[in-house]
Amino acid sequence: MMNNQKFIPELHDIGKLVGKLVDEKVKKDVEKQIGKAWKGHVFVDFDFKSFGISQPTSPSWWGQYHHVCYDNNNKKWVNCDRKKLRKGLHTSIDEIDINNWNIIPQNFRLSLFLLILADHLAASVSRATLELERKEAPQEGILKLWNKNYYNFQKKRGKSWAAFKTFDDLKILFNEIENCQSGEEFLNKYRDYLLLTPEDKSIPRNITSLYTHAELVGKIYRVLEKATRVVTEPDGTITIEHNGIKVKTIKEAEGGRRTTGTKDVDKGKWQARLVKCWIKFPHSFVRLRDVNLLRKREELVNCIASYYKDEAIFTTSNFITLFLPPNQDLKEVLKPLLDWGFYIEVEEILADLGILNSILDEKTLQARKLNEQPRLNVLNNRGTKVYRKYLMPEIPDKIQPHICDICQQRRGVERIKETIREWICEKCQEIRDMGEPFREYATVWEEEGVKVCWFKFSLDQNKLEKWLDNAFGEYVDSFNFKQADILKEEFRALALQVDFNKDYKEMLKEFWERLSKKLSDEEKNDIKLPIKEYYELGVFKYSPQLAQKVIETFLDVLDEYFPDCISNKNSPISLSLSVANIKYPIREHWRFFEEDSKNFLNVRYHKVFDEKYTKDELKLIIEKAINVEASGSFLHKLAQLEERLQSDIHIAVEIFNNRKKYPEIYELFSKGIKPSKFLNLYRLLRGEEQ
Amino acid sequence: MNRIKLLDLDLEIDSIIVGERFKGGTFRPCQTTIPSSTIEGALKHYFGVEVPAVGFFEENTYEFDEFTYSVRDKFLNASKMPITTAYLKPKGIHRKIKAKVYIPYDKGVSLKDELKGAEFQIGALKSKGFGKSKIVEVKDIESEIKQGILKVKVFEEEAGEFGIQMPPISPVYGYLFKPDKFSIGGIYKRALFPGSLVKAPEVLLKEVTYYDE
Repeated sequence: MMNNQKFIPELHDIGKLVGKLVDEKVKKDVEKQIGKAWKGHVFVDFDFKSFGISQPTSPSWWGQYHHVCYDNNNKKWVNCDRKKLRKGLHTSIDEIDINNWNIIPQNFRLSLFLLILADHLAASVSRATLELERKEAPQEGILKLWNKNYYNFQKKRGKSWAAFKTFDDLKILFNEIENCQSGEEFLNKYRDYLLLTPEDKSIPRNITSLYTHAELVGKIYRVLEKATRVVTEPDGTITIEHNGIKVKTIKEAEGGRRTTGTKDVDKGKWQARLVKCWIKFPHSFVRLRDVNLLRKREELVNCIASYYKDEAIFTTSNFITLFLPPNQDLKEVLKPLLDWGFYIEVEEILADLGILNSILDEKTLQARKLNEQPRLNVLNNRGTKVYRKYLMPEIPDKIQPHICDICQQRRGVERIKETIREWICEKCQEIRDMGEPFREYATVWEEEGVKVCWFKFSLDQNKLEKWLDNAFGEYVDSFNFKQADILKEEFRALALQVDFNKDYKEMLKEFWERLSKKLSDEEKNDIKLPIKEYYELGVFKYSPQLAQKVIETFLDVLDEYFPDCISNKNSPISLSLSVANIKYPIREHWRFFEEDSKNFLNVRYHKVFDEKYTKDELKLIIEKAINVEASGSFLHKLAQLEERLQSDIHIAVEIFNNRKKYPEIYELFSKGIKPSKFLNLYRLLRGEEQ
Repeated sequence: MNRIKLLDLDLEIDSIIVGERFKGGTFRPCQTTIPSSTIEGALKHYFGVEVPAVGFFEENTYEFDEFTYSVRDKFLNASKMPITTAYLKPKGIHRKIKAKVYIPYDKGVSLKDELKGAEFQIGALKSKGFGKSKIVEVKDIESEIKQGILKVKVFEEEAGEFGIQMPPISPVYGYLFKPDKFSIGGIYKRALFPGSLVKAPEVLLKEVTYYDE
């Protein structure tokens, strides 16, 4: 009897969760008992009858065929053998007319067709075009480029990537293929295993988690599915139509995979868009309540991510990456944000499925700038487009005074509070009416006239893309592959971006948990998360001790989650602190947080200093100057001297003259760290009185 | 090649406040561009002409500082709460802030002689000495029209006169205040803001870009 369940693309690589040692042992056992095991990570050739169970009947079963080939000599379907593929003895299913997929029942061919396309798009590096010379044995666990020891660490904690470890577990695996109800169910149930398993165990493809790969495949599959149908032609054959364009093979749909060279650059017929959306706002935070705008932004992003759960590849509080068919209205997707006065800076890539990836925009723009003809010929030939757009709410061409004090996009209504007259539009007032983020700020803290330190974590997606591209390049280069350039050329950063963003979100949660453990009860009242569940933004009643705890906790969690990520001016992750009297406007703190030229740590102490640090500088200064009691008095002296003389040369002479007494300070200086840098950090963390 | 002729004014400024328009609070921020509304107002006041103009401060010639003052309520004969405003002052070795102002050639050519060496004030708190400016050079330039990111704030209705192709490829809109002819009231008019993707004279661009249109 035919199974009525849905096709679940997320299940296609479930075989990768079978333990390697067990896999071999089970394979041997199976082989011994029934004469034949299975090849690779799919169960196309598995002998269910001899194994004593029935072959799954669910639609998802046909996802197991995503790596099949046709053996041209023996005239039968087999698991792909890459050597035979290269020699032309096997033909990949990608190149075979869907009408000839006689191994797949007609009503599941569309599902498999779209699954294979989605699988290619979600992979970081294509496995189909190249046979890598084997340099290293396949790796059992994932290698995160930003946390290379992650898998070993998890292993030591007793975690394992393998979900199916025994002979009997195989029955559970087949039961999942048969009965699993949704991709979400599968991802949740096997989350821990999927996060530890690389999508591909071979170096250098072992860098993406199977979790993200499966999640991406599921999303891309369903987006493609919405705009695709099977058409029966007058001659009785079928074609697959996507956005009105018909194809018969996967290769025809996606085209070649490269953007340079003369080989394998053929145009695909199907295109799609990757759309990067930066969510911005023109609003100024006049009162504390106006920061509710950040809460509103969080709510709206979650709302879009939930309504368009397949199209939204990943989201952060201020960024969304969407995968969309060519004709889907972007403005409609982002309407909730536009309605509330946010505007969206969009960078959109339209390209053949074969080459569509999240860094293709940068490559294309660079090629145009440098007039790189070989690449431009291919990109232009394949109809590659890169657009930059600003989506804004509809606004009139003129506004009669008064304009809204907060958003400056709509007419304001006069409102008087505590003798202060303001002009606020309805939308901004609604946001203000969402409530006081925390009462102490405008009452207790303001009465005390304290200094406050606002701080914000940021993740720069542009820097992340660049860093991932470089980091992958370096990883590839460390193995001396002959095909290094091709591997780098075919790299798709998207899955890694998703993994990185997941880790970033986890790191932020961990930061707050760990910080909370370090705080005394009194200190806990002095530090706040102004917007609940928006972990990037914090504020505390400034004290050197709290500032030190915030920075040290950040360093701790960063070392745990991103020890191998670059941490200088190119760092994707940064922390900014802004210290000022409580009366200093919040919008000015925010303006500092939004500055473009960030380093790893950015500190502004209003009217005192403005300084930026790399991670190495920060650690070194903490080690040599902050945590060394002996240097305290000397640094005090230097700070006073600097204030009085405003002269780097005098400071340098003073440090040099005292090099024997204070070797740590001299060491900092001799390593090229400007005295102002360690003096200012000392002021912040050890409380140089102003 | 598509080019446009503009009048290019080099300004030297002591210190300046181009305020952002927020009400409330005791801290007033300062912009780092010279919007059309600001420079046009100054030209009208000092030269009695209404010409489209737009400008910006040259990078690395200015830095922020703060100035605190108290507004006097003449009616009550009392000082209001002190207000702190950010302002721009010359940075480092520069003795003056350097700024550029552009006027469409046809609209400005008759003023050329009058503008040379002219001194006037621009921006806010002129009574406290802010905004003293001198036009040190006036020259005709031809700037190539290229695709890029706009770096000025210009009234939408005047953008075309600067050679900015309208409609813009992808605009970032904001509003600038346009006083009426008696300078008593006025209206907020839509303007192209920095960040807009436009085809414009290269001198008005932050960077040249290569996007599809």
